[in-house]
Amino acid sequence: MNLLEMQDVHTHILGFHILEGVSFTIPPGKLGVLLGRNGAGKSTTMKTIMGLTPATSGRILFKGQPIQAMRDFDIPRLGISLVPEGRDVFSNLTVEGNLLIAVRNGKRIKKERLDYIQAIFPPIKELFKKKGRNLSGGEKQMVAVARALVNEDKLLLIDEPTKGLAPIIIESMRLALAEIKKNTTILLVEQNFEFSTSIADDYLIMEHGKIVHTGKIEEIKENTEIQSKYLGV
Amino acid sequence: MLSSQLLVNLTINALSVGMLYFLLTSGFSLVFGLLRVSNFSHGSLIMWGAYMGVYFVKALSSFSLALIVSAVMVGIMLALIEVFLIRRLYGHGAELFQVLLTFGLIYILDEIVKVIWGPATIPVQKPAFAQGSVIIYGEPFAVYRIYILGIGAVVSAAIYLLLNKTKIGLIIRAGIENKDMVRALGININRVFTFVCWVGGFLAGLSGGVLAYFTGLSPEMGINQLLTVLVIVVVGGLGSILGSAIAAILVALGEAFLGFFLPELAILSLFIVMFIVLSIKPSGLLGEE
Repeated sequence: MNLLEMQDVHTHILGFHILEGVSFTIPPGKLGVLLGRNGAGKSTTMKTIMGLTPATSGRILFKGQPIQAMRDFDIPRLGISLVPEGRDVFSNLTVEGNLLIAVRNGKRIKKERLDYIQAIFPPIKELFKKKGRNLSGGEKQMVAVARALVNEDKLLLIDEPTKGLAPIIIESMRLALAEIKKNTTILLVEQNFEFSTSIADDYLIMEHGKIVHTGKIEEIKENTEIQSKYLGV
Repeated sequence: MLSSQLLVNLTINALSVGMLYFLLTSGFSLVFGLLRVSNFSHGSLIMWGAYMGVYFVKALSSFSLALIVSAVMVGIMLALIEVFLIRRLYGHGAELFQVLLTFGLIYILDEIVKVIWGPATIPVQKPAFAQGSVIIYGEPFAVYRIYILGIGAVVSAAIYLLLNKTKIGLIIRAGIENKDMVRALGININRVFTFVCWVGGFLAGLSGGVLAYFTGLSPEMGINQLLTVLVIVVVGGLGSILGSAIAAILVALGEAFLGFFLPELAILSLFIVMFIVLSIKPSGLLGEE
């Protein structure tokens, strides 16, 4: 069974038809990357899965269960985490507060989860008492991903994790995601083609609110025609 | 010439009035901070706290218990208002409707008070323990004002602990900044809104219960306090609890010292403080630009 399945999903925002029948599947244990130009509907797809911009029609199945009509705050409780495009680290909270607020059961982060996060992002412990507003772009991205790892979720939605980051930070993010994908299924939105192809298993290309191509990531690496037609690479 | 004794007396009196102003304002600030709803019926909730507080003092024969019971009930009133009315008006573009709703509530809440307790002003006698005065640094100081300082300190500490040492406080501070992200973490922010409204109503009710022993009871007391509340909230910076606390003390000090040195300007002190602060920082003391 697929972990996530979108079936002809349409989403309207303020009267605009943003998703025009999105259909795709994400099998468990895979990292799928959603590619496409600006405005194609990639981030809206993420938000629609999370219920933040609810689908107006179609079905979204998580572990076979329809979730498109669920309340937005119930969806993460199924085991789905979002790392949004703007990172949305709470600037008034410390890094520790940013992680604690994500804990769904209990008041503390479970020791094994904290150890796991620290193994993936060793510098994070040093930042625990630092306020979100005082973090660099790379540190914010690290905290945003770490926050999504606090619970043992099955699906991670990560929106443009490399945006605005220096190459050295992008490389450490690539290593972190490579580690995370060993235990968690990931749907990634990314404009950085090299980064995407270095880490993903499957690709999905969006244009004008629809999926227009899907396949194994190896297939697109050499396909310059698709790259130039849909991605401007 | 201002003697050191008089200086101490003016300052302590101003601090107690400032604490009262903070109590009156903190609920409004808390609710605005998270919900971004200007609850203009806050003054009327203060008035309900005053009437119910005095009523429960008679019924329960315990001043502090009566204040708490009336504050809890006013908290429930605002929580119900949030669930059944304000919740329908969240989001961009609904600000005018929020203003209309909360202004409309002023008329409803004030008229109900008139129906139950009558339109006349009712003098209120301070409880026995709060009567009289004590000598501090050679000057008499009303016991009730010390009581207010005590309540103000307890409430300030409670708000600080709530916001900084609890999970719900973490959620409130995060929600003030980014409600969508809080939802995306699997948190039912509507419940948090309702809880914050309960706390805001509790603070309004508590401050009303305290205020009643300063001003007596009248159906106009809420609307009379609303202006003070709004000025302090603006001076402190919209939605900042700490800003409101500092602004409340600043306004009270301004009133006390202007009233002493330039008595003819005392009535304008509220606006003089606002003018000075907003001229320097238009977003208020701790408000975001």
